Amino acid sequence: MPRRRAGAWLPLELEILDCAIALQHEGEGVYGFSIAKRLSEQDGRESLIAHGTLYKALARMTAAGALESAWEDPSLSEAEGRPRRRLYRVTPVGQEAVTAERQRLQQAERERAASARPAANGSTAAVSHA
Amino acid sequence: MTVFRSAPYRRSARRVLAWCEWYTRDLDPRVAAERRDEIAADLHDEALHAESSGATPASAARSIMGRWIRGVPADLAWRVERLRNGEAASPVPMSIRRIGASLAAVLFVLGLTLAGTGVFTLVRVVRALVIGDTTAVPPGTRWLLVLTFFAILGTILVCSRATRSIGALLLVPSVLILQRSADVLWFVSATAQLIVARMWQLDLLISAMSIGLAIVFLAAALWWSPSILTWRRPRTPPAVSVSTGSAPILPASTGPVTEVR
Repeated sequence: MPRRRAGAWLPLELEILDCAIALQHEGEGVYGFSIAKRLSEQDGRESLIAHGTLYKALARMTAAGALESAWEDPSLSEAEGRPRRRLYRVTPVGQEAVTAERQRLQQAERERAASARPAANGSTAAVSHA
Repeated sequence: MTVFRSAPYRRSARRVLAWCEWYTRDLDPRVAAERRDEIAADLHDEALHAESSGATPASAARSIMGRWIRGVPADLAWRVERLRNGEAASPVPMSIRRIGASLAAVLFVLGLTLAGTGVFTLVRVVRALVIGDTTAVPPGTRWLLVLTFFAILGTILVCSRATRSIGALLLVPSVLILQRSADVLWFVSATAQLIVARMWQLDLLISAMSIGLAIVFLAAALWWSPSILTWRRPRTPPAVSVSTGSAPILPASTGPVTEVR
């Protein structure tokens, strides 16, 4: 399998970053299950993302510096009677990746629109000529 | 009825945690514990979500099992990546582990071949006795029986990491199966007689093969001997948890478990 270029992001990783940023803005906790839930809501899927796929992606993004992680304060989880969560935070690197991806998509959209326009004009001209 | 206390949820959570325990084995205890704790928190959160959204315990369990199975390839890829990054509990590098695993596979195949040769010859002897090709048991058959037993036992022992060294040692004498089989087959097989008559160098070939195999088995036994490998991987410490003091993923056994069919 070819190695991935440093700084190259998979679509899933960008989706995860997007979800994490949205959760962060809403003041929600960014942790494994909250990301999984948000991803399925966003895609309109009934099933949640697989454990292995999600945590492998999170580990890779943390190692690449797009996310930072820290374990939750044990007193909080103890008070709620649940296992401690690993909380994530999107770093400037992650923000930049998402922004760059958005710009790339917008650029691609503009190019598509621009290439569609002359073709449409051409066909209109052909019709009027006939 | 809560999802937490239901048997389907508890069963599925146990399976996921057991799988997690398996693929994080012999990794750096801290890395392994972090992954286990993260999965445990996820399972707990999913059960909470299922309860709040009014999902049945069976559907929560189905979702957990589905997430587990779909994630197996990624879990294994993550494990390989961790081992490649040197995040194993053992200081032994991957290359040495691979040599050990390859050696075990080679010995298994060789042991199986020797045992197969022995079994084949013994079957031919029994057949010859039954159909009356020969009236007496050929000389050396008893030895062949013992050596075949050694080969079978050695091959089985090679499969387990703890007994590999003994298995390899048992395979050393079983290399004599080749010579014994040739001798015994000469009495019961016309084809064997033809081959022996035509190939004057057969004895030399069998001796060379036997010596070569004996050296391989002896080297493997030494490679796996405990005194040489005292630096081999220590046992993985029992379930270290980074989330000290946090609640367990499965509820304590206070009260009956609700069985949902």
